[in-house]
Amino acid sequence: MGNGIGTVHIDTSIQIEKCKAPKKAKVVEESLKAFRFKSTSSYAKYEFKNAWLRDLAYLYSASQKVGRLEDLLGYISDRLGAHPANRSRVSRCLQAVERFLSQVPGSISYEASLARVRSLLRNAILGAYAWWDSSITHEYNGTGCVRAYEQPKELSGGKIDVSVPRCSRDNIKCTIQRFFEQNKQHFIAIGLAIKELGNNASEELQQAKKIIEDAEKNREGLCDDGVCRRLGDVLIAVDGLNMDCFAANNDKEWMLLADVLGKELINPVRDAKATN
Amino acid sequence: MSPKYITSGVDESAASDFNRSIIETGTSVSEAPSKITSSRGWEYELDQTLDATGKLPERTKDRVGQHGKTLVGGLDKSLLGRAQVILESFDWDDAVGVAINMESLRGIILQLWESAANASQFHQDILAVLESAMLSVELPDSHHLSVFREAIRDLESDLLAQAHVDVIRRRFISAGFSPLALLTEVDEDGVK
Repeated sequence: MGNGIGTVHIDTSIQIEKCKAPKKAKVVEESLKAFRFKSTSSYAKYEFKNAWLRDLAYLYSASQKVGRLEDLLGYISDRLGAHPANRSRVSRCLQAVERFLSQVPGSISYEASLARVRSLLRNAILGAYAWWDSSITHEYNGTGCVRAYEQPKELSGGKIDVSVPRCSRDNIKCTIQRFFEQNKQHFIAIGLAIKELGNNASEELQQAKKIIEDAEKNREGLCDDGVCRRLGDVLIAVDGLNMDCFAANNDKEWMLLADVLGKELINPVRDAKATN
Repeated sequence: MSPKYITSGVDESAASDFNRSIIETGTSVSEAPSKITSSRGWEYELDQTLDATGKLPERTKDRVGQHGKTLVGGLDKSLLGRAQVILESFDWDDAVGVAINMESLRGIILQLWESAANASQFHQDILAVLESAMLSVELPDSHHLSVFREAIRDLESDLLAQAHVDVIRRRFISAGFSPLALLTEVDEDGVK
């Protein structure tokens, strides 16, 4: 590591930092510059799609239904009011977009503002996978996550399909159960390490431990998006076993994962905050 | 309309071919081919319902838009021309000048949205790629300026195809721009 030939495996949280404007992404890019081989997991792409791209797609769809940009927030509150977590995420996303665009002083008409936001959102959604693929050297696909490879697709009438269909054990399309079997010793080691942490383990880790224990008895139980999603960090980490180093911004989960799997963990976001 | 086949190998030369084939045809839209085949054999459909208002795009002559401005592909020609002039006049030894030029360009792009609201989806998409990049970077380098110029050249075209958008998107990504830069102000990773 650090000599130009190291390899690093990047978690979703760091990929999200990398996709930001250069002034923010620079911190991460600088810290990863030494690594000539940068990988991630297809499961990280699935998480990325499931989180940000779906929210952006919701905003894009909403922008097609309102007459003025100013009405977007109200539209979101009206429709997602009964789902506070979802409403909060989409609203936060909209506020970020507005802050990004407000860098240029001056005003334009309602119609122009709306066209501007719609187009920026379209560009973000439809360009996301091309950016993702260009941002890494290799993508491991141990879980064979089919949802990760369903790219946002433009439909007729200006709609964009960013849907993430449910997965269930009745209709298995991925290879997560085989992935678990092939790497069983690593999953069990992670489960034991979480157990040792006891109540000090994060909620995510405790959920992961339960899923690992269940999967030991019935690995097909993993073939459900509601289950695999709660094992996300573990799946991404195990997918990068061949790499020297992990890069992630969730210390609570990744310090344990890196430790159990014998990797060095770097967290450029944390380091930058500490420096500042 | 989506291209029949897109690969990461789509490049600038392919876009130039499309540009030429569109511009040199010089016929009315109804006579134009509904598909373009690039020099590499990839086939793209020409969108015959490009206009966001649902009208077929006009391409044989400039239009006169609101406030008497001449429009190209729906966009304000004088603003596009001004942007191109500024892009040609960056002096790297003059950091203040570079910053001022970028501010002017961002202002021009913002103003272009007034005319873009009625332009084709493809013009809007390319304008969005360009604006996202310009808002992402404070002091651009020569590579950045090169892709900015390319985008402005495309925007000056009367008729664009999906291939133009795809090529521009990839060119900007290769230049280090992220189409997701609009998420810059989001603090959490949002995955949990």
